[in-house]
Amino acid sequence: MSLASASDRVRDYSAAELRQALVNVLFGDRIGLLAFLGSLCLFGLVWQTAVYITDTYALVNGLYSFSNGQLFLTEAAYGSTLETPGAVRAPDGIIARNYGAIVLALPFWVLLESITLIADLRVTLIGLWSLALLGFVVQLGRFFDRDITVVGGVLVVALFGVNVAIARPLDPTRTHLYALQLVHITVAAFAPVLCYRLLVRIDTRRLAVTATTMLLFGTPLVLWAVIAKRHALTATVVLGIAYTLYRSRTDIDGTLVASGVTFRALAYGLVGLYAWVHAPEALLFLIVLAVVDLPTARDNNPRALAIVGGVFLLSLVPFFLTNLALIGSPIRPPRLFSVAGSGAAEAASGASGSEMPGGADLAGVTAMLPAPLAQLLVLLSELTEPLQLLARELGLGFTVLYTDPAAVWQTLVRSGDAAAALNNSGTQSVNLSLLESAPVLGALAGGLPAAWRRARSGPAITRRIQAETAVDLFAILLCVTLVLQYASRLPIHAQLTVRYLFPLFPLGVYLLARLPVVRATLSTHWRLFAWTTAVTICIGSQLIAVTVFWTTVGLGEAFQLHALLGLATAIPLAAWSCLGRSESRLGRTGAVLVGVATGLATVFVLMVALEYYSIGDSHMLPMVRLVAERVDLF
Amino acid sequence: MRYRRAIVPTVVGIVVLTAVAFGPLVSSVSLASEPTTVITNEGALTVESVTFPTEATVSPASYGAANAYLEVPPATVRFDSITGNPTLVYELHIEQLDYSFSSSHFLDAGEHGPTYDATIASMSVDESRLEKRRYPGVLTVGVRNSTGLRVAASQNITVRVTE
Repeated sequence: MSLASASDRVRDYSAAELRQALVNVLFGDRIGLLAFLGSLCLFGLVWQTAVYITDTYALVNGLYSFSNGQLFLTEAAYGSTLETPGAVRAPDGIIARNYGAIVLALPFWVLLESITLIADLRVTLIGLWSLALLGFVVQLGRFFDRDITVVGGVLVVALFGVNVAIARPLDPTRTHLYALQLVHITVAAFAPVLCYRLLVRIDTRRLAVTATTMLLFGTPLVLWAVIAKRHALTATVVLGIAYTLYRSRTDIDGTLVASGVTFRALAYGLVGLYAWVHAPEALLFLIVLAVVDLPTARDNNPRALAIVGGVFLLSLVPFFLTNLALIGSPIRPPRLFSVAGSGAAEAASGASGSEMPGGADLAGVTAMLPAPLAQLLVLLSELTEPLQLLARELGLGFTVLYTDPAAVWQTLVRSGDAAAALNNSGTQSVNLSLLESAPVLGALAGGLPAAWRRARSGPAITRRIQAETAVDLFAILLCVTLVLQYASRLPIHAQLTVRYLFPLFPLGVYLLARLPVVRATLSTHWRLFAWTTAVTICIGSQLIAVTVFWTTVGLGEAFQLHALLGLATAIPLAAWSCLGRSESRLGRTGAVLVGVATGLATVFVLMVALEYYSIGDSHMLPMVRLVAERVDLF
Repeated sequence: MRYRRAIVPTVVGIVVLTAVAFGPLVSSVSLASEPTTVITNEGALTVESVTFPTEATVSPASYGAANAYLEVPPATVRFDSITGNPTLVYELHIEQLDYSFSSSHFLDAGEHGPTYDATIASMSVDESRLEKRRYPGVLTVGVRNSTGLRVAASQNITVRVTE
């Protein structure tokens, strides 16, 4: 067996080899490790140890109850009530959400609690951030000059000293919140790692690094990584699926796994585990994965299918058990499928889950059938209930494309003057469209002419579909179906960056890296791209801050300033990518545009963390708190 | 060289020792605590005169945002006397719309006076609720202390809705 031989191999490793093997398994290589540590440092910069969104209350109270041995919510240890968005009232009690994340956070909570016994929590968190930075510097030193390590080490100690000198104590009673945030930060840091690992196998190392940079700086990943919501987890999960899907179709050369089927099973296992966090999305992931995987797999022999199916069922066990304990039915997710289109998914407490979709129609049919057949039909209907709901949501989303294209336009392209985007109290809308949140995705427009050119240039499908084509298909199909799944509920006025569609950011970046014109441009002009991004972040952020100060009086306006700047970059970027030329001057123009678009997304994230949603005295790093306290633009 | 190998253990050691030193096991070192907030309402303020603006405006938000903002120019308050940390409240009330906007200013006798420009943070309003071009409003400046809010001066104002 592959695992047995792998464990034999591992047993023979020396300590250094073992460390190397661990790095390989988790991060791919040293650059993957760099991506991980760099992400942690970035996330730490914007981390605010406060409840950012009311949805987090259900999670953090869930962890509080779980740490006391209860699955149901027992006490509003955080916030004033248990009836918060996402919490659902069931017959036996109130149910939290994202149980997978809650269970994953438990060891982090235990660790934090133990730390509070011997060390100061604030200094510990500052220390952890400093050590991540040190790790980053040390790894960087191995690539370049070893002196970087010395200078970096001194710098890290100095930064640590400054932060401790101006630090204020961290409330040691809110460890559940910190643990949840730490879990999301850690998992989110694997998104850039997986992005790099996937692309470095498909393309050059240089392209993989630039695309990973685009993911970190050109999308709102950093913003959502520190918020205890499912979105950052989703990014890692979809990239994980894409990565394992790719590996299952290529020759095995890794440290641990010796068979492609294992990777295939891992892909389904990831989906199964994600069901424990957010089942409706996991179901969509499963269908898209199966649709792409089954017809294009190398081998669909019964043994392979049995392994894949077995691992998938096994990965669903925690989800089943949780549901069984909470509701008494394994397939009903803790957060019930919302009735599509009513927007009920985010509304708390009301749904009782007793209603059966299509129950009335079914009763009519079963009355006419013999008893055993009728029972079978009821059972089938119950088992496929999630599928029926998903189909209905997708159908509704499809209808919205025709009936309300403006809503889709507001969600994907221009948020702006959407009156519907205002909430009932008439307050300002704080919601950027997908393109405004990540202008760099504008370059995806070039995908259509590229596909057209490719289709005309010759027979598209010659032999078996290649591994990267399977991943491309998975990414495209998932993006489209995800938009359909949520189309009937969007736009919502306070989403910041269309967070429901978060997987579109990592998958979009992947597809960008696969687009010939972007690929060729970034491979040649990566320095120009990097410099433009850096300049946009360092200088552009100051110019934008000044513009916000002088020309806006409130959040709604400031958000729309970011939106317009984003679109002003995204439109020429889209035009450039449609041209599809990457040579000489056009290539340099493209690199600059991609760089500006990438930088603008970071500027927005920084402004959100430092000013727009800067919650008083909650920044984890004291030096960031100091900056946030000084910045006052409205 | 040798000393390079020592960097990582050294930094880790410094971090761990510092974290423990500030922790509950060592009582002699502790972090600077949060500065105590000065919203005590303890203090006294007598207002000599207030110069109010004559007009407030509701104008659509720029950059294509969907809402509108109500902006009230600052009122210049001249103090007769100020002691301690009194709280000054500047409020706009529009009766026909049932809107009240106010901002509290936490003053400090050591820092403020004899004049002070009180402001009201601009507020987001729903334009679709506005039917007229002009609304009468009342501006008030008051002092809040432990017993309640005492109105120091007030004046009528026109709230103009611009397109």
